[in-house]
Amino acid sequence: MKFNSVEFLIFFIFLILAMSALRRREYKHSLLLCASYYFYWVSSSYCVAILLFTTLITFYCGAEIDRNSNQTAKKMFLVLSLIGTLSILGFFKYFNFTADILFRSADLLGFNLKDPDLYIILPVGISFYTFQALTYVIDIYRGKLKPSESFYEYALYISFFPQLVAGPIVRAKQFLPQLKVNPLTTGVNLKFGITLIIWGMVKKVVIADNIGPLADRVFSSPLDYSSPYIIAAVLLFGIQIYCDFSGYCDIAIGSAKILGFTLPQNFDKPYLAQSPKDFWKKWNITLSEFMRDYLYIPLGGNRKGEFRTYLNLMITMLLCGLWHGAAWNFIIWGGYHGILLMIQRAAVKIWPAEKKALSLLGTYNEKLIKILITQYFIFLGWLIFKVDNYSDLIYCINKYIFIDYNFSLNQIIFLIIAGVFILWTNMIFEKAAVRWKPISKTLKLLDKDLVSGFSALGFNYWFLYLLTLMYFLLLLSPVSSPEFIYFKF
Amino acid sequence: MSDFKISKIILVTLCAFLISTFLFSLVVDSCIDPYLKDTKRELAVFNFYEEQKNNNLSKSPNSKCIYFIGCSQTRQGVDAYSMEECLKEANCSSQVYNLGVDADTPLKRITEINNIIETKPDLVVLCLSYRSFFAPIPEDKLYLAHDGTKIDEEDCKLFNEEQLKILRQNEAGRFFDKRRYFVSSVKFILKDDGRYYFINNFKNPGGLYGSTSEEEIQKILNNPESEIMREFVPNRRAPENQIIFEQQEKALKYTIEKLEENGVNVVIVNMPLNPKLSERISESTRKDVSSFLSSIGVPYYDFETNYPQEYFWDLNHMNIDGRSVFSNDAAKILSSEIENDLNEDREEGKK
Repeated sequence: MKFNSVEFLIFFIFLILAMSALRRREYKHSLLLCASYYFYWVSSSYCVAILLFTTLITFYCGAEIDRNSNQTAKKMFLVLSLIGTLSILGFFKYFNFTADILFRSADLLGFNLKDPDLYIILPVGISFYTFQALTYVIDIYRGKLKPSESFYEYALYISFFPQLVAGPIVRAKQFLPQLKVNPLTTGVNLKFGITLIIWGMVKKVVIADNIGPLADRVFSSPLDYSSPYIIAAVLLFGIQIYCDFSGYCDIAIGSAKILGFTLPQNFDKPYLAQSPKDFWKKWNITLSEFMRDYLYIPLGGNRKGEFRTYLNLMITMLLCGLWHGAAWNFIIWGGYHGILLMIQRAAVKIWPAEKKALSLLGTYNEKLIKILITQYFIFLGWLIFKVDNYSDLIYCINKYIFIDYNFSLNQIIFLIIAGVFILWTNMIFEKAAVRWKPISKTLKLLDKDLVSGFSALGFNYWFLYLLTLMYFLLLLSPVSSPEFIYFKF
Repeated sequence: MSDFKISKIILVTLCAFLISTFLFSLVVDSCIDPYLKDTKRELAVFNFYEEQKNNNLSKSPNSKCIYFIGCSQTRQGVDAYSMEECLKEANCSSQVYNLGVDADTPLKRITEINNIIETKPDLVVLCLSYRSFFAPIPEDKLYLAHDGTKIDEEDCKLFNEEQLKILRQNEAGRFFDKRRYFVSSVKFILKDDGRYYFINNFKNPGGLYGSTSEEEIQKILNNPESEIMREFVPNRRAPENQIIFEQQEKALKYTIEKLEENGVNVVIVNMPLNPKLSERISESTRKDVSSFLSSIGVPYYDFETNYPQEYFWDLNHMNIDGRSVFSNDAAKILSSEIENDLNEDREEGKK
């Protein structure tokens, strides 16, 4: 069931009405649990059994880990839950990929193995709810969380439909305490939820779905295009994937808010990141925090010397890439981000004077230059993410880095003057912002969460906000909307 | 927060939705509907059928009514006026109409079949080419056919589920789906370059006769993924192409049977192609299409390789000179078909 469908709207309205009619917390939770399983059944049919199995095994193991005082027994149940969940994830997600590697390798070695021609379909959301279940078990093992006394509450946490199929990845310790309180649809929640849902829909349907085909047109046959088109296509793809994924998350968070639950934010203006590390604090925040807390830190983090730190960074990012999909381009993309993080870490140690040099240009210029440099490399990474054909990828990277456009002398001079002008304007603006309150107020406003700002508006302005966005949705949404990109992961 | 606030929020949201829908309907009325009326020949053809049906009473009994049906190759390749002149000289007075519509296929014409029958033409010339069998129907074409079509349950069996969903779409869905034309309608309003002057012309619609350089032609021919190559030189091993071929074959057979059952004579013409494209058609495709058309039980005329490159402005569309030559040649066929038809009538009369 797509979020941007009439079926989901009807389903959601009925659910809110039914939740409003019920008084007791337990009844509401049961209704939500049934609705979540129904939602998953419509989306993924018999794979609902896998969701149930994951829920059962991690609930059981979590209870046993807490019950046993013997460290060996605790470890045994932890390992059991890890094997039980990750083996299912591995089978469904990586079977085809692994089989392909094995058969190609066998072919190269001269063995003629018969391809079983078995194509495994990936259950929707398995990557997300598996990680959620793992946070539960691991936090219990670490002593940071008490197991849930109610299986139904835990099942609701795993299957909660707004974030079931594409995140955000919610920790058990963030969600389970919310189940101790009677969820209410308050006016504040409803207004915020509607504001966020409409905003998310516009991002996904109006922006992402309309610019996606433009980028696809170039990437379907990139060899026919020169540098300006390749660069434009990767910029469009970067905007598309951000709007698509963050749009989905907005709808998920907004829906949960209306139902009385708070989910964590998953994006924080990632294209304003000033370094690769900063980017991963702003992009798919819940996934990068999961990788940090459950992979990078247990591997040793930065506590075991420089070489181990770099190694841990690379392993974490390679696995992050692999999580995105069973294909070499995702692994290479993960490895590429690992290299960026390593370079950043090394650069800070080797060249601390960089900070002083940039600060001479003023705060805004320093930020602007850092953003531009960072995003140049981030968007180069998106090329690797998007183009899965090796020769096409080499071509695109070549065109991205070595621009084949013949700039005339006038154009070069113009660009240099424009660049200097922008730097100079920023320095003036920075000084003006300190002296003029309207400018500093506007900047502070832009720094804040705009959606919260819109939802706090008086009803007159909020009506205009809704009217404008709904009108854009009616007028500019494509007739057939493709699936959310992160549904594939 | 009180319940009063929740109801106010719901009320504001509903008002915003209703007003935005109203504003959307204003855009539909002022931009989109006029754009569709002025640029979509698919809609104009349905209006033509209605007018013909109403005009049938005043039709001269000695004058034959002939329809040329096909895609843009027909629209640009047939000059009905010139044909009427030729037929008049051959004492076969006729009213000829060019109903060529871009991207037409036999399956798409099923949506018009009952409309055609109602207008009681004497002869329908089905102008086909290889793309008629391998080009899928764009969703847009079915959407445009929805209002004018008179398809019945038997006709519906030729379409798959997705296609039927569009043909049977409810009014609310159709209304909101008009947004697909918003951007095009705005571009049209801002810059009407007169390219759609032919929309309501059912004699010699023509359209824009451009020119394609040798280099561009070679580029298209060397790119198997270009639209022309995919439609004329399809990958026959791709299952989706086989499905389309079978669907179009069935639709064509059904069209001919239904027209003949209702007293409409049918002739098939394989439209001319630029020799450079013709030489790329695979032997298996040519054999399959040719043998199918020859065995279908109606007169079949193959014009594919009749004309040199000079009569084409691209790989499959004739230029003005080509149109003139082809129309004259087609008129000769029509006059012999009309002659045969008259002779059969006389034989039956004698009996």
